Amino acid sequence: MSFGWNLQAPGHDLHGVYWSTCDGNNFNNGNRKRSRISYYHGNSNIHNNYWAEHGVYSNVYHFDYGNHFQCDADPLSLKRRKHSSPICENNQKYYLPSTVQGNIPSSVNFQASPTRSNVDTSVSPICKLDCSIFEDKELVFMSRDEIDRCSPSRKDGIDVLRERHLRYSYCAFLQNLGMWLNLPQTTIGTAMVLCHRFFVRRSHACHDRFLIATAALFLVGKSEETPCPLNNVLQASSEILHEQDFTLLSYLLPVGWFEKYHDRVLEAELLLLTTLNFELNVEHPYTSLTSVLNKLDPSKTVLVNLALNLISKGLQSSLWLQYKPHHIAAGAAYLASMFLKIDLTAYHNIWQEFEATPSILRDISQQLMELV
Amino acid sequence: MEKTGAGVVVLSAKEAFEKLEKVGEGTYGKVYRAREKATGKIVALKKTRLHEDQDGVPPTTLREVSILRMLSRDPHVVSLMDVKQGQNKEGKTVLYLVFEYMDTDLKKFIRSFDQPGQNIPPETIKSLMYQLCKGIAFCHGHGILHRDLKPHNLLMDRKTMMLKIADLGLARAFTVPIKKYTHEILTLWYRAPEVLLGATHYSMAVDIWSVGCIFAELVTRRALFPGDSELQQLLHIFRLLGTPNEEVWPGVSKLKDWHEYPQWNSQSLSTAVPGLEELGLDLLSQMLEYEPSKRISAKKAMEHAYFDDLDKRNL
Repeated sequence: MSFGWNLQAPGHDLHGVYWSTCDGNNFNNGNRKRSRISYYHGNSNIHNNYWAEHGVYSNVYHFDYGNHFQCDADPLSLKRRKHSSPICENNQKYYLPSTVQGNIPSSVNFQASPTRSNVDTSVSPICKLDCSIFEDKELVFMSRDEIDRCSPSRKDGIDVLRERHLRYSYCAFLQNLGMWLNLPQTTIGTAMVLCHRFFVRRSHACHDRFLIATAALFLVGKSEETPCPLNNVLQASSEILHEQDFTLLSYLLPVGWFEKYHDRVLEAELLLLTTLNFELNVEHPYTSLTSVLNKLDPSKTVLVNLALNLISKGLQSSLWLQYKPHHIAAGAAYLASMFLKIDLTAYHNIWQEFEATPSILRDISQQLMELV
Repeated sequence: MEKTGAGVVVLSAKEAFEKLEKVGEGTYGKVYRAREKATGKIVALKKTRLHEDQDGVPPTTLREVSILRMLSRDPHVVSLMDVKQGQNKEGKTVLYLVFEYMDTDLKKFIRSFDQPGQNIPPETIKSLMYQLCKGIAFCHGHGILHRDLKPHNLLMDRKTMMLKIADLGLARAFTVPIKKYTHEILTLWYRAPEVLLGATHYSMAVDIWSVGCIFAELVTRRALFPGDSELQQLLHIFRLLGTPNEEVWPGVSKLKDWHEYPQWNSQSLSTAVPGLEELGLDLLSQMLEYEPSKRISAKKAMEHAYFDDLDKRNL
């Protein structure tokens, strides 16, 4: 059985030249090789042979970042403006079900120029126009079906598979950018989740995903006390997106491009904040996973490691919008135990400790299976 | 003024509020008392300059707003009502945090008892301390360390004697296992010894130490440990509580900034905080425990016998 992670969404030819491999289980800031073709295996541990046998290190992220600064050839992305203007031409009405509506920014005080998706939510009868942005205290979780059906991108002709591919691509970009900047895995993971939250509320057709991702990582660095100077973030992201050394870029790109990029990222930061209502707190499943599984006997380290890898893979999906962290941890542990043929039911009440029902375990493990 | 697609008019901060007076100044901007034009309600506007250091929204603002999103529903945490975007004279973007307005803070309140022999009534101290413990227990219960508790950051309403925790710019979420945190935080006088000695792994106990220092200050109207440098601060603490050693605080000598310090024996807290009743001294001593893991929690402090005779119905 191979655990090679194929990030290529079905039906999409991702012919990019930027390659990177990533061991999602590395939570340290070990030395990272700063090269365009970056093979990142993390710090060695006693289970590396296991991962090598099962092909975890053989997977390669293939993503085409080359089209970042010009419109893609396909009609879908022609809608995306060169400078990610927040205003979309397509001004159709789009109503969200009440279950989703609660998670959409509710204060019109707190919007940048309205995108189509903003306009849509504000006309919905469910949305209170005069309420404070802080009225919706809790994050509302959505079902996968709601996320897929009600995504603002759907109205712009972007189907579920295409959006899934776009999600994978900005996650791969964030993983690479975070590694270049030597940021902890939790910071990178939080940035991914913020991008997912953003694109549940705004269309991919109207916003440059790599610009939003760059702003998200910069933002999370500050909010999680792992700050990175903006210029470093901009340089690294430019090198990744253009596949050129930064010193060369000043010759290849128009005069003043860096200053423009700087301003656009700061605008994107503000757009992210206003779209997400400053909700920057993201809980990750790592803690609950390790605290429950570490109660098992020490020989289960391989199970913990595989489950942690599955969680890192899960970051590329919409799972964080659907389930609480301890449920994702449970699903990852469940799937890992099935892969390794370890019977966890022998450990009394293990699923109760995760507060996970059989249907939750099935759904999460099924979604994780699609990623591996 | 801006019209959204739904035909709803969005007012900018300038159009929505009338600034009445400047009431303070922070690292990233000024704080104004203002009137909301639509309702006439008095609010506090905290102005944040965004592009001062070319690094976008300041981390303190990010943390304060995202944390207040979680905590604002508690009556003992200042309420963040809204965030508005605006532009300054140079056309640069500014954010205005709109808070409920409180007419004083604990620092000013303590200073108002300036006549010799004019002490804060013991029942007032008890009420304020209970509210402070309750607010901190709420923060800690939601996984938030304040990290900068001091009288200036505790807002008050003179009429109702309601106390609210404010200024969460240095606050942060903590996780288990606890991460390494910034060493250079917290105003010196209220800083816990583990922070002064260079510990980077610290916990809710740093807030409890600050609460203890504030408790003593309410009683005496003077700072308990008014050091003017990190070393002086430690020496102030050691003079009163005794120089710590491995016996009273296991692991203290392994802390990054531990040196050989002058040896002092511990003094009775009643000498430093005269006038505080026996039960109050007991609570204070538990708040000023050297070993962080032995320091009383905010939740436990609320259950302390010192508060038994307090009418908690309206708190």
